[in-house]
Amino acid sequence: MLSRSKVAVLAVTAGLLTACGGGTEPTEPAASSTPHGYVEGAEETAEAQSKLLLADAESGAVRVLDLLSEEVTELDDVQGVGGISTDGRFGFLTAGDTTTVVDTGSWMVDHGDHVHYYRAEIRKAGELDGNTIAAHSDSAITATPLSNGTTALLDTEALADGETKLDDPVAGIAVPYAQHLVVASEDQVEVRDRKGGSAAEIDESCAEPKGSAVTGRGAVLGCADGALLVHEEDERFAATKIPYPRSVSATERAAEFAQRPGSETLAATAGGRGFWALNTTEREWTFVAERQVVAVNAVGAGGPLLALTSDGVLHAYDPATGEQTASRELLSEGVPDGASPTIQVDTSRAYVNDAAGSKVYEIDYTDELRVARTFDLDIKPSYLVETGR
Amino acid sequence: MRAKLGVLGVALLLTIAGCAGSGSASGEGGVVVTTNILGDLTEAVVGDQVPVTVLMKPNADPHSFAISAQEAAQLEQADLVVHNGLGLEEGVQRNVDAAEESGVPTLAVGDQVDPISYRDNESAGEPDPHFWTDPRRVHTAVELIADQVVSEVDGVDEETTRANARAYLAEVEELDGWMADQFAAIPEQDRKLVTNHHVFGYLAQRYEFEVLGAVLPSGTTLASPSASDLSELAGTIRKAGVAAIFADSSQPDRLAKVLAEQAGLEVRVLSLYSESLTGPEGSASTYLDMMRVNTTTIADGLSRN
Repeated sequence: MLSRSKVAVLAVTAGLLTACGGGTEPTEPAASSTPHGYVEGAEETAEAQSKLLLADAESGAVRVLDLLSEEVTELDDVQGVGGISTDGRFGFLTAGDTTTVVDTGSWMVDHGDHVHYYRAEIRKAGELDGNTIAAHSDSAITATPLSNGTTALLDTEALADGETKLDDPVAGIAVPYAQHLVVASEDQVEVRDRKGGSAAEIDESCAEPKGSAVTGRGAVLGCADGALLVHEEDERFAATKIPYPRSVSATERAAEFAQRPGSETLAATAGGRGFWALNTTEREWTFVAERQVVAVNAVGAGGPLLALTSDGVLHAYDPATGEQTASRELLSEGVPDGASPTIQVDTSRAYVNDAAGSKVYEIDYTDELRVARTFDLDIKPSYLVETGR
Repeated sequence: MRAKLGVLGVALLLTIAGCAGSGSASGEGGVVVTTNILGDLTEAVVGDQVPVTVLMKPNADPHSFAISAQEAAQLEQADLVVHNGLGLEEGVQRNVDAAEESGVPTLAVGDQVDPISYRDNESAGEPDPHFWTDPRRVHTAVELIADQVVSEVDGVDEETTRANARAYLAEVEELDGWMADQFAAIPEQDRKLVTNHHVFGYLAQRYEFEVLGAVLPSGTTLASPSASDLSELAGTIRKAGVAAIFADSSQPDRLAKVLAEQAGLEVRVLSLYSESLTGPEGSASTYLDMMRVNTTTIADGLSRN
């Protein structure tokens, strides 16, 4: 409340000063005269404007597929594209030493008791140094952990205006959570305010932090010995370590989390032996033994765990018992070496990319993994993220 | 903290008063209204006596629309700010608060029209801000606006304002009577609104409808639905036994087709205007038009023949 009022007063000041200047002062730039959260040209919509951002590792081609209209938008190529991540609106495409940021023009704002869906123009939003390996954002800060062990911090509003405005990078992994930033480095875990000041120290440590997620139950950091769940109640921060049920090797531990956005359940591959599901409500790991798992995700809220194996078969598992409930042959050629298929999940469907077959499959996970739609593409979709959810 | 901000606001106002000396002494003045529905009512009352500025654009969302710094400044210089309140205008609430703290008279219409509370879902117990779906409450709102305009706004004539209000109130009364007649033609057991709108609680109370909340399958689901995607909505429709549902869907025809094919339900999917007026080219560019269009849509949709 305090910060909101403050913004209003400041905004008013800007308007008044302009009025007093009698036209001799230069006009304030648009960024300072538009209210917090307002996006010029954005249109509110009645339902989720789900889109897929797709990139072809061979040709560098980048496409946005609108899942409602099935229209495809071509963006500028990103030569040598080697990775993709999203915060739910922006796509971060890595190539060489840089990351290209794309605004997919679809996003959701969760107000707790209701959500708003928006759509705006699809366009390139900017570039930043380093290789983004994940992205999380709130209305003020977009944090992208980089492959070099630091996290780049971008101004979310500026990004929406097509500007990459960077703050000083943070050592370690940083995740925006509850109007703060949860930062995990080798030495300590800390909660910082948006200006970088320390807001709370966390007693628990997180050795070799890798992997991050935000759930309704708190921010999650992957550590060598388990997951660290940092949660907030009445502006007090606390942390709970959720240890692995047994000792795990460096290749077996979760290093990258997948989830349905907002869901309380996370999934992560565990080397070649199977995968992990982490229920942050029960604060419990489940290990599912499955050979040659190449991609996983979790529907959450009682929905299935999903895994793609290297033979191209998609499997569904009961999240409580880990037992397989359905399977379907999806990628007819299997998954070639070096390919990195993903499973993206929203509230009703899952999406799986088949780069070799130039296809994306839409899966109804409540109906025995039925293929609801198959999208034939003019590129090989090596990388895939869903936005607008 | 509130007090401190108030002081800041006053300080700013003084600054302006000091520098605006050569221009209009009391700033912009006039009436500033947040939502376009309240804007329409206020314009009917004020007429062309003083400027009425409506902040919310046509076809916008009252919950999320935001204003520029220039508009915020205008709010602070108004003779009167008319807003809905009850948590409706989340995007401009802080601007209204700032204006109020700096001494601008404000009228939160929703607070004074005997608001009802939401019954179910996660907002249960909280006041429902969408009072305008009941013309009787709009009648009260127009009277409140007229009183405030007369007592707070410079440059308006009391007689003219009261006459404007009387003329508009007569139209609202006529609307209310006409709506009651239209709805009376719907058999009592069919007076059910299966809808994903959350704004018709007041209309339901006034004209004895039952509102059955419905969650629509998402747009992507409709492309290739399975029975489970539709089960919740189909169950609600079957239980209500209605011939039409009232839903915001980007693909209403597709939804109707899918319900027929997958669930054997022959229903029409009709859209209603809910929280915003349209521009002049639309069919709900005034409050009275919006209510007439919605009433016809509901009465036709739920009639058996």
